[in-house]
Amino acid sequence: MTVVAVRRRPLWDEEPTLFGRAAKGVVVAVVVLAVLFPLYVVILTSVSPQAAITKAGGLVMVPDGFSLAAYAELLSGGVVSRAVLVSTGIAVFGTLFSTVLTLLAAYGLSRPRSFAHRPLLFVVLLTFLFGPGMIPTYLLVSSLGLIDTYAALVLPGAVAAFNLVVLRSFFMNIPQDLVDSARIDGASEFGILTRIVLPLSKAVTAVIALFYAVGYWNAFFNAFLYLNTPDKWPIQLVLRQYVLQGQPIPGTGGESVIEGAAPLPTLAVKMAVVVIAVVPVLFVYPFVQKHFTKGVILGAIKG
Amino acid sequence: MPAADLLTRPSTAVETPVAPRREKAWRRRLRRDWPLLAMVAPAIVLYLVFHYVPLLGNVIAFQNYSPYTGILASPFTGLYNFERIFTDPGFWQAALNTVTITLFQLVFYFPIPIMLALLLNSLLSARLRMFVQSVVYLPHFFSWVLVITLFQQMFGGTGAINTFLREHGAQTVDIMNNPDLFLGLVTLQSVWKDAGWGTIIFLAALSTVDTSLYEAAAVDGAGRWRRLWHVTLPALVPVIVLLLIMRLGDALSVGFEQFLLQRDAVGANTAEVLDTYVYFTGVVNNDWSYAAAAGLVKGVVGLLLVLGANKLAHVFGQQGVYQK
Amino acid sequence: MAGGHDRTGIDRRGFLGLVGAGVLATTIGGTVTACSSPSAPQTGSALGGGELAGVLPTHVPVDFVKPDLAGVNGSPAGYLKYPAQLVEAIKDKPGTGGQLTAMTPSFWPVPPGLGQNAYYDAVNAKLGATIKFEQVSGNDYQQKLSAMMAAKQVPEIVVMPSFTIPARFTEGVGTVFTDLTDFLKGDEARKYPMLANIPTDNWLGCAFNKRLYGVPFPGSPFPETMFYRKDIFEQLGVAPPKSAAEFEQLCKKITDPAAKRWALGDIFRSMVRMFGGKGDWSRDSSGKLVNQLETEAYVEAVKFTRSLCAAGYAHPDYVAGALSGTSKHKELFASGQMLIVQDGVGAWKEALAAQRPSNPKFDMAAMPLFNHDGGKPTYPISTPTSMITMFRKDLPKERIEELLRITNFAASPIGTQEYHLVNYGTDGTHSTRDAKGEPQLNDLGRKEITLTYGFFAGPPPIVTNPAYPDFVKASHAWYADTYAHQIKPLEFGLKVDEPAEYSKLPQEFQDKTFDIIYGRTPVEDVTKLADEWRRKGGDKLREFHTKVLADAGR
Repeated sequence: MTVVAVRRRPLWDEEPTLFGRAAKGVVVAVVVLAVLFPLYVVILTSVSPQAAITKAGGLVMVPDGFSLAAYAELLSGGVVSRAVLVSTGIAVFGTLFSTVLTLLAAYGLSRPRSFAHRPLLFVVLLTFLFGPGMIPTYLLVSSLGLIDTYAALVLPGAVAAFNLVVLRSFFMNIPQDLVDSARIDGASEFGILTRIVLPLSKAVTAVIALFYAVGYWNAFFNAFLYLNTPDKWPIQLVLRQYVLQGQPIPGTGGESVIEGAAPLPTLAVKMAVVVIAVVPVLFVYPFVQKHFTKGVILGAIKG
Repeated sequence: MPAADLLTRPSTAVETPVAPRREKAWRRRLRRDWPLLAMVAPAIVLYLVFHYVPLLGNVIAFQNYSPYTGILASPFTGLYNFERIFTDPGFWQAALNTVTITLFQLVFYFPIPIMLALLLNSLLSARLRMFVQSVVYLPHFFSWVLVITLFQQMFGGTGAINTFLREHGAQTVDIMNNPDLFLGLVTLQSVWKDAGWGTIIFLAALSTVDTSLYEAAAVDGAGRWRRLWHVTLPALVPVIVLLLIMRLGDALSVGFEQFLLQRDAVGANTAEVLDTYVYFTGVVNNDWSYAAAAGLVKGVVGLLLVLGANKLAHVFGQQGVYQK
Repeated sequence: MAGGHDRTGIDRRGFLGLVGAGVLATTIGGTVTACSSPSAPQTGSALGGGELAGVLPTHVPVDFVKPDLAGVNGSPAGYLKYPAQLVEAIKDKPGTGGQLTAMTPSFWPVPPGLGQNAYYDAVNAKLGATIKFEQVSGNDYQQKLSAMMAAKQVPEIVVMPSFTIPARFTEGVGTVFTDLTDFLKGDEARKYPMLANIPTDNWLGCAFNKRLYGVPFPGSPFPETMFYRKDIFEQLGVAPPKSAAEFEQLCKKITDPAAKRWALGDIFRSMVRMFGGKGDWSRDSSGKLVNQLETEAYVEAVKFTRSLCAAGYAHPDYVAGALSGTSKHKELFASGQMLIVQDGVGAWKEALAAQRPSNPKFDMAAMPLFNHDGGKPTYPISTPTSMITMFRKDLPKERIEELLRITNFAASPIGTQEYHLVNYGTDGTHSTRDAKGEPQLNDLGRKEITLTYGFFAGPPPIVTNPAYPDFVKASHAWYADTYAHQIKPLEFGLKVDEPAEYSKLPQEFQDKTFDIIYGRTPVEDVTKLADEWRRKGGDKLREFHTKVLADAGR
C-alpha cells in the first residue's frame, strides 16, 4: 500500500499504527485474491482445449494446453459482433432515457411539502412491491404495437423505483440553503437541478446510470419475449444460445447434435461467454469511478 | 421538459368545488409546484401505462385463469387460491426458511458492503483503490450457476479442499451438501458475488462527505475511529436506512436461482424458499392464478414491512423512504 | 407422476436449464378436456385415447435405402454408412411461392438471418416458399408461447416441443390452432407420403380433444437410461450387472475415492424400473389402481439406492443431483470421475462426438436392462412424440395443404435429396463428401444450418453415426433388446391434466424420497411415504385417475 501514495495524507491525519496497516493489507489481499482466483479459473477454462476440461472434470485450475477455439467460435460469423452493436445502442439510449427520467422524477419528488407529493411517491413505491404478470404485460406491449421493436425493451422498465428512491434520498440530503439561495436568485427548478443539484450529485448519478447501463446490457428476458426477429437480438440473448449448446433437447431422447457438425468445447464456450459479457463492464466502470473522488466541494460552493 | 402538456391534468382537478380557503391553498401550491410535477410526469405516465395497467391483470389471483380463455372469460373463485396458499404446510415451511435467511443475511451480509466501502475509502493509494474497486465488483456479473460451480470446485466433495484432505489421508468434510451449514454457505456465496457491487452506492455516499468536517474533528482531538463514528457514519446513515427499508420490502425474496440450484443438495426442508415454492407449485404447472396470488401475498407483506420500518425510522429521526 | 416421476419419465428438474418455467404436466398422446367450472376449480378431467383410431393417419412405410441393420419389432434401423445415391422423394414444389412465418425452438447459436443465409435460400428455393423463422430460445419457449397464445398472435407454423405444452393447453388449442384431423385422418394421409411414413405411435402426442392438431417430430419411447464407461469398465475388468446384487458388487468394485472415481450419479428412476416399476399408475392384484409410490418396487428402489449412497458409491458432488439442470453430470462422466450415469438416450451420441476427438479411446454404452432378481426386465415407455408442429387457426384450406406439403418435405427420410438438403445444405457450399463418402459440414454449413425446417416433421427414428460405426451397432442392439422389454403403462397415449391442487404432490414426494435416499431422514420413513401421500390428496388423485381410465375404457 505504501508503493504508490498518490494522495498525500492530510496534515491533520495521524499515521496509522503498524498493526492497523498490516490488518488492512491482509484484508485487502484476501478480498482481491478471493475474486481474482475464480476469475483466473474462468479465463483459463475459456482458453483450455476440451481434453484439459475433460481431465479436470469441469473448470480448469492448472494450465493444461491452450486453445482459442471457444473465442473463435463466438466471434466468427458476425452474429455476436452485430449483437454487441445492438446491445450497445440499447444500453446507450436506454441509459440516457432512464437516467434523465429518473433524475427529473427524483428531483420532482425531493420536496416533501410539494403538491401531491405523497400520492405520487406511493405510485412509485408500489411498483417496487407489486409486479405485473408476464402475460398482461405482453398483451399490453402487443396491443401498443411494440412487438419486435426496441422500444419494448426500454419503456416497460424505464424508471426503476429503487433507483428513483435512492437518487431522491441523495437529493434530499443536499443542504437546503443552497437550493433556497438559488431560488431567491431567481433560478427555475430546472435550473436548480442542472446547476446546483446535479453537480453535487455526480457520484450518485454516475452510479444510477451504471445501474441502468448494466441492467440494459444484461437484460435478455424482454428481448426474448418481444423480439421475434433473431437479427434484432441483443448480445445476452445471442450468448445464451451458445450456452444452451451441448445440452440435449428434452423429449428427443437427448438428441442435440446436428448431423455432421463437429461439437464444441462447450464448457470453454460457456466461460468465454462469461468473459465476453464482463469485458464491456470493465471498460465502463472507470468512468463511473472517476466520480468517486473524495471530499466534495460543499465548502467551496458555500464559501 | 418533454411532458409539459400533461400539466393541465392536475389543474383541472382543482376546478372541482372545494372549500374556498383550501382551494386557495391548493391552487397556490399547485402554481408553486407545477415545475416539479412536470418533472415527475413522464415517469408517472410510464408507470401508469406499463405497470399499473398490466397490474390489473393480477385480478387473476381471484380466478381460475387460463391464458387461452382470457381474464374476461375465466371463472372467479374468490379467495380459493389464497386458501390453498395458507393451508399448505409447505408454504409455511418455505416462508420460515425465507425469513430465517433474510434475517441471517441482514446481520451477516448487509453490513459487509458498508465495511468494504469504508475500507476502500480509507485506502490512500488511488491506484490501489481503483484496482481493488474494479476487481471486487466483478463477481456480480457471474451467473449463479457459475458461482455455485466455483464454490463446488473449492468446497465440494471433489473440490480443492477435500482433494487435499483425501490426499493427506484426512477425513473429508461435507460442506456443499450439509443442511446445517447451508445458511452460512448461501450467505458466503452472496457476499462473494454481490458485496463488491453493493459498495457502489456507499462509495457514492462517502464521496459527498465534506472533508472540512474531518479536519474540524481532528482539530478537536477526535481520533481515527471517532472521526469514523462521528463524521463518516452519519453521512452514510440515510442511505443505510433507505437500503434497509427497501430490502425489507423484498424480505420474502432471497434469490431464486441460487436456491433452486442447491435445493437437491441439502433437501427441500432447508433450501425451499418462497420463490422456489411458488415456482414448483404455481409456475411449473402453469397455475397462473396461484402464482399471482402468491405474488400479491409477497407484495402485501413487503408493503407492511416497508411501512413499519419507515415508521421506525421516523422514531429514530431518520427520513426513511418517505416523510411524515 | 408421483414419486420422482414425471409422466414423461424424465426428471422434471432435469429440464430446468432448458425449460425455464414449465414442464409438460400432461402425458403425451390421447386427449384431454380440462373443464373447470367456476364453482369447482378442483375438477380436472380427461378423455381416453382408444377412440383415436379414426383420427390418426394410416401408416404407409416407404423405403428409399435398405438399412444395414434392420429394426427388430419396431426398434430403429441402423445405418452404418451414409447412402451414396440419393433419391428425389418429392417431385413437385410444395410451396406456392409466397412468404410464410414459422416459430421453432432453438437450442444453438442463432444463424445469420434471411437474406444472408445461403442455406435458407437453397431450401426455400426447393420448397417454393420463403419461410421466415422466428427462432425462440428453447430455454424459455413455453413462456413466450403462452404469452403469444394469450394474445392470439402466433406465426403460421408453430413447432412446439412436447415438454413445453402448457397446462390446460387442451382448452386453448382449438382457439389458436387448426384442427388437422380431416386433412390427415386415415387414408387422407396418403397425400403426404413422408408423413404417412411416420409410425402411428409417434402421432399420439399430436392429438388433443380427440382431434389431430399437429404433425410429429418423433421421439424415443425410452426417455432415459443408465450409461456406463465401457472403456474404464474394461480396464477394471468388470462387466455390466444382471441383478441388484451384482450391481451392488460392481459399484463396490469400481468406487475408489483415492483415485477420484465413484460409481454413481443419480440413478433412482432406473432403480425403480429395475425393481419392476410399471409406470405412474398400475393395478394391484385386486385390480385397484395404485400409484407407483405405493408399490413394493418403489420402496425397494428407495432402500436399495439409499444403501448404495450410504456405502459411498455416489459421487460426492452429485448427491441428489446437485446442480441438476446443468451438464455437471456429463462433465463428471466424461472425466471418468463417475462411471455410471442416468441420462437421456441421445447423450450417448452426443458424448462420443464431444469426447472422441480429444480422447479416441473414450467409450461408453447404454447398460442392458436388468431386473433386480435376474429375471426379465421391463421398461414402461413414454409417448414417442418429441415435437408437435401446428398451424395457426383460420388459414384457408389451400394454405393448410401447402403447409402440410412443406412438413411432408421435411419428413423425408435418409437416402433422399430432401433429407440431405435439410441436414447438410447444398453440396459444395455447406458440406462435402469425405473419402468414405460421408457428408461433412464445412464452416459455412456449421454456421448456417440449425434445426429449423428439420423440426417441421421428422422421419421415423434411425440410428446413424457415420463417424462411429461401433456406436451404431451397439446402439442398434441396445434398442432391439430394450424394445423387447417395453411395457405400455396404463395411461399410455392419454393426455391427462391433473387438478391443479394436486400438482405439487409429485415435487413434494420426490423431495421426500430424495431426503431418504441421501440419508437426511430415517430409512423407516419410506414406509410412511405412501400413507402421507394418500392423506395429502393421493386418494383423490386415485379417484381421478380411476375415472380417467374408465372413461378411456381401460
